[in-house]
Amino acid sequence: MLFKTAIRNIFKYLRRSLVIFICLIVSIVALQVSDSISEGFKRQSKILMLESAGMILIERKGNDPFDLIQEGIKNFDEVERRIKSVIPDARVIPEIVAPAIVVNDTFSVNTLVIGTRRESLISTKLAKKLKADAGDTIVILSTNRAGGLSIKEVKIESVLTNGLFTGGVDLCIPIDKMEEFLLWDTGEVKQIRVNFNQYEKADSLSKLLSGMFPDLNITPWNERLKNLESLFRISDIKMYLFSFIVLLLTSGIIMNSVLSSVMERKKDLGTIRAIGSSRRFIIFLILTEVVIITFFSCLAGTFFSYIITRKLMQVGFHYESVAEMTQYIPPVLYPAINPLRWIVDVIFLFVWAIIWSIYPAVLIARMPPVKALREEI
Amino acid sequence: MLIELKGVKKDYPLGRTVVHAIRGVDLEISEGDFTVIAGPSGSGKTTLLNLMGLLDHPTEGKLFFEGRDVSRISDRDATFIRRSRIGFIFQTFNLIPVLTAIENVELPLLLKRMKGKERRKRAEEALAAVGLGDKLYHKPDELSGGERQRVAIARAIAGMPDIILADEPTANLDSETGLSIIKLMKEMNREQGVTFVFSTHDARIIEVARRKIELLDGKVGSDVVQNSNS
Repeated sequence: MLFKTAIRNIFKYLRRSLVIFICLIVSIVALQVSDSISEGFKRQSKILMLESAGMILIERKGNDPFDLIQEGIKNFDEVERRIKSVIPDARVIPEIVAPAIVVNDTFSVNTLVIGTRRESLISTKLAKKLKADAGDTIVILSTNRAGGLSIKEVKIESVLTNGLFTGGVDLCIPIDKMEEFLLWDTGEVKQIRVNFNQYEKADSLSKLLSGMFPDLNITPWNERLKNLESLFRISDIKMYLFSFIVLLLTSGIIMNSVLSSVMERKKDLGTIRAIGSSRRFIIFLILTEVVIITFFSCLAGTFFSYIITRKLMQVGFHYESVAEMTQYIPPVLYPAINPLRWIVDVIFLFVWAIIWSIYPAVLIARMPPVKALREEI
Repeated sequence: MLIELKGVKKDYPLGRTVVHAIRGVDLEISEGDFTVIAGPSGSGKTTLLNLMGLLDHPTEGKLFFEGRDVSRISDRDATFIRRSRIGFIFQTFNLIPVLTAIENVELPLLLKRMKGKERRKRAEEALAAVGLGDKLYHKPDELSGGERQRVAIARAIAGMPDIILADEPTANLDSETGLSIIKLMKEMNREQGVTFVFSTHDARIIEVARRKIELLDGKVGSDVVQNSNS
């Protein structure tokens, strides 16, 4: 009967119920959609960062990083084939961070040899220092892995504009051009970056690969980039602030509406108290109404959130101009639905609505029945 | 003795002044009584009934319910006594508008934690006793004033209380309906032994009561047994 009475009261005081209903819908939509935008930003930026750093990094065990003639990972093709047999969607990127030194007057630059790239790249910063441009030829002097002097002429095919090496003065040389220069074996790479679609699985996949390649050092991203999560905590803090403001507004509206609603039927509630109801029964009755309204608000709100988020996922937020300046911001940001976060939002709003209804419920329940009965409508 | 009042006073603060609603009342209500509290408006009838019904506390004096001092009883204990021992009938019926007649009658039984089937059966019997067996599922706004008051009586008797306190139960009814309500209450008093204390200032209704207590300015003016055989 409590449930039935609560439902009928909701319809009897429909205007106030609707105010609470709409307020809660707006709140849940605000929380869930902003959650999705934040989640999308986090996920895409994280993927960009991890793609660059490698979700799983494979190196040879026991190598001294300062040893010029250190051994690399041999039979890269075979390693790649075996990785793809356990991670079908893996993008296996071999890398040689060459111990070469580029000398031009007094400049020293890092030389990266990237297998998958087919062109010689030079960073904007280095190009400026060398006063070089695409089409120019530069001569690289370096120590090869056997300790001898190597000289190589490299034609710069493009100057990097996407900011990949903005932090340093780097030069990327195609692996085939560097084989002879560094006395490097084609099938040998210094390290392998393995990227795949679900970066969350890096831990378990690393363990799997470790079993397959006992002589290789296999580390997932979370062991190497321990502070990456805290970087995104800033975005979370912004989200929490926004949620707090939304919830603060919601609390005021809920409390005010529930208070008006109970004051309007002070006499009915006084009668129920007079005929023997406990204070707890009155509180339960009012809170049941709030729970019912909140339940349907959350259902409707989540439905609207889904529609809005799906639409935003189709349209996206465009940041092309910003993305050109840094490699870690995606050119188009798409929201992403995190079901767990949405469930947490719903639970939180449920609890919040109940908390802010407790005061009006307790207020009316504590009112002496004789005072409530004196109320004339 | 069911209810006993000894030197009971009740004051209400009204702005900067104090209204002395009850100015020292000594009264006893026995089981099986059919008592009317008469008096003009503002004489303290409703306040006295509220005190007897443990809806309010006296400012001074002692109030006993079955010999137990309930003058300063806690809200929890007062609620328990109201729920199990006292029935109420109000001037404005005070039915819960969202509930049907039978649900209104079931409500105090629900508060007594009575099981669903028994509760429904008892509510049906109570409504049948007041002649509303065919209007179980009507909501208060679908009933006439007299019918609403009958539902209120059914609600009061359904829980089989020791005493029913009725505050001007006929005030919002036409005289004919009012008389029929009083007759119904009297019938229940006679046949089921339910104790009734009700307030009114309707002379025709006062005549029907066995005992008449007249209140004047918050004091008992007279207390007479007028129809001992009726």
